Amino acid sequence: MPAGGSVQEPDPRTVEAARRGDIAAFEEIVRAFQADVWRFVFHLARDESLADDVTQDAFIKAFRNIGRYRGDSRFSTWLLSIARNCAMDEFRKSGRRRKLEAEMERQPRPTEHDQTRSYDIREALKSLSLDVREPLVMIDLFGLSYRDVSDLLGVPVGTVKSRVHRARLLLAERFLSESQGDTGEL
Amino acid sequence: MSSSVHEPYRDDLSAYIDGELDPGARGELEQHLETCAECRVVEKRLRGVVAAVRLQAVEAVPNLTEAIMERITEEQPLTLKRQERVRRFRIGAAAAVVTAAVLVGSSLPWLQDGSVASAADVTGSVRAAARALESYRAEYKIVERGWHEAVPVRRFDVRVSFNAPETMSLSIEDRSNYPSAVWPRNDVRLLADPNGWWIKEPRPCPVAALPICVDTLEIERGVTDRQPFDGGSRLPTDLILPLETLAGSENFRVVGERVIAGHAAYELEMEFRDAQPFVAAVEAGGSWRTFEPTDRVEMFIDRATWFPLLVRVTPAGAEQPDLVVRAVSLNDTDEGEGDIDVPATGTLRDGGWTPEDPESLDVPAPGFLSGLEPYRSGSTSTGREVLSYARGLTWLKVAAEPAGRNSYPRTAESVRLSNGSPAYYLPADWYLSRRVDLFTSSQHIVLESNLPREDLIEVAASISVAARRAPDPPGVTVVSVDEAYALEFAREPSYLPEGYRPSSAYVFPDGSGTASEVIYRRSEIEFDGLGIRLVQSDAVEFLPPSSQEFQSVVLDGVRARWSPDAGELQWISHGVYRSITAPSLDLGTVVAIANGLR
Repeated sequence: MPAGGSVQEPDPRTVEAARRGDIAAFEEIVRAFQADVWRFVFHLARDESLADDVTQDAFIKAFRNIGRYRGDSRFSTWLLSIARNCAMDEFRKSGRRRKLEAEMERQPRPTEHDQTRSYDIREALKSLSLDVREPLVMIDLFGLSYRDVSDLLGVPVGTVKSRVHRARLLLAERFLSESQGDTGEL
Repeated sequence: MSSSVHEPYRDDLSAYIDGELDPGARGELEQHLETCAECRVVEKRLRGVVAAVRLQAVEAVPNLTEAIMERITEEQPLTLKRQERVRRFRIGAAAAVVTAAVLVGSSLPWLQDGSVASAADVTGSVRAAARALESYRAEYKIVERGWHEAVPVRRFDVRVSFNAPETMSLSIEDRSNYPSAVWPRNDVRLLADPNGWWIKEPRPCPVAALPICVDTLEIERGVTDRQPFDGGSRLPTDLILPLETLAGSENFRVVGERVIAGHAAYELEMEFRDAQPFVAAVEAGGSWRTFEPTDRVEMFIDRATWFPLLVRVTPAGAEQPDLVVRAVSLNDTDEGEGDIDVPATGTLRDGGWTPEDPESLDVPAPGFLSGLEPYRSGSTSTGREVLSYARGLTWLKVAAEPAGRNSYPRTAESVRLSNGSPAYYLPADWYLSRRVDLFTSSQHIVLESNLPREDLIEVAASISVAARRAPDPPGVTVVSVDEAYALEFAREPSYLPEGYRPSSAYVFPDGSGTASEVIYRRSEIEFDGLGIRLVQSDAVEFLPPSSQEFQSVVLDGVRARWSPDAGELQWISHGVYRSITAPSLDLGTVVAIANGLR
């Protein structure tokens, strides 16, 4: 999936075949979604080897549970929620979440040099705390709706809305304000 | 306008950009934006952020598909138990109908819910499934390690389709990464129908010499006017159902049950030497890494269809398998590919087959056919007349030729048929299937089949001819096993690996003395064509000189020599020469047999 696109849904027949235990159909799903899942986890964790591990775990969990997928939510949302749970498990296990959050709380202000057009959006994203970064990544990189994100994170739609907005304001402050020569109050 | 006036609108700006505002709120916000330049600036900035986030460089994403699928296949997905129960009931019921017709009274694994089947159950069920199979289509993935040090891993996609009894298409597509384009790709294509057989594969080149000896040319060869079930153009059907691999229940152990890819499967364990029919079918052409006879093989076989789902070969002492064959789709309900166009290009051999009406042939037909139906009949350019029978993957061939041209092989077991006639039985080997030879005053009749020994012997007994004893093989006298061990110097083994029993015994003059020879074989298959041969002689003073390379072994205080190439252990103790030849066994097992001679 290109950055900013939305995740394609699989052919419902493929999902149905996978639900019946057809391993070739499941492999088709893995092939189609493994990159999305990896990128999703990578954006949460910012760690390539952790993204490798979590992606594998997520698909194995999905394979075990696909019989329970009833089509109530979009397949991609279902899969990403599994990936998110696996990532959170991994964070908990390794204590990475604490470390990660501690790091996030510091939220270093961009340096003089950073406040230019060349300031990497990735660095800006990385500086956001997980609670606002997560919905932003889901919406802007994976094309999920607020409702999808609300289901996935288990928070009200209003919370999704305010977190996304907060994330964008923080990014605008760090990424755009200097480069656009605009110092106005946000 | 103060900040507090803008606040509610600004908070909605992200949702507005994302199209997540309801029409009422959207209209209100749009109205506000028209009049508020400050808010338009904020909107513009937020849109800039969204664009920047969406347009950031895409990360290099690894392809984890293979790794994920390998883990999925190898893991035990416990939560599939529910599906497993449904599947077992549904297919079990269907399979039981099929099986009941051919295996009356046999104890079937799915009737013993909760307990692991015996090896004999599995063998019986695979045989039943082989009769019932009409068409088949499957895809496999192969991962192979250790073929060449410059190519640590190779991966292949395999597609196979089959229509009983002799139409098959197999393609092996090499998906490996080689260090450079000069390395030959191990792409193989095999096509066969009742008349022809054809293969395209890379030209052979010793692995150690790669890539220097590279000759990227592929070779094509084929057989035209093919005889039915010709051993020289055999179909790799053990990939479909491991009929020969599991032909003898002593060749493997049932170690448990597991769910593989959503299918309830039996886990079978065997030594590599016993898995060779399967491995040879998978590696039907091209170049592959070699294994030792005692390397460990795990085979997971679907307990409803008996198709192999996953096979792993792990070298002794290693933790990771060096060959993994994994089914990714299996289908026995579709029609196969229908007619297959078998090319007649490359080096062609004339199979010499002329189809003829069965009535016009001088071949005695068996009265009992073990459920098989008449198939092709005809004659060969070497003067053999042939009737053949088939059902699913199971087949039988009865060939007759004028007497006096063939004796029977020394390794054959002399059997007395239920009608009292003498006959000579050979288990399957690399080239030929199980075989029974009958000799009459005018004809030599050969029955060849992949039926089990017992059935084949019963078919042979139903042929009404006056069979007689064949002359002894040249230079030896056929004796009973007791007679062979009655010689004063001859010792009898007190230990033999499982499944081996005496098949034939001879005595023959050896210089100034006498020698005895006893051959032990398993009943269904001896891939090396021999089994275990024990020769003892009181006339050999020194081990004969040889150019072979030997390993030295101490046996009971005496130095013995072991030839790994020939699989032969020789020693002289108290003036008696003894040798044990067992090409498929490892030195440890042969030494155990030697130590058990009493």
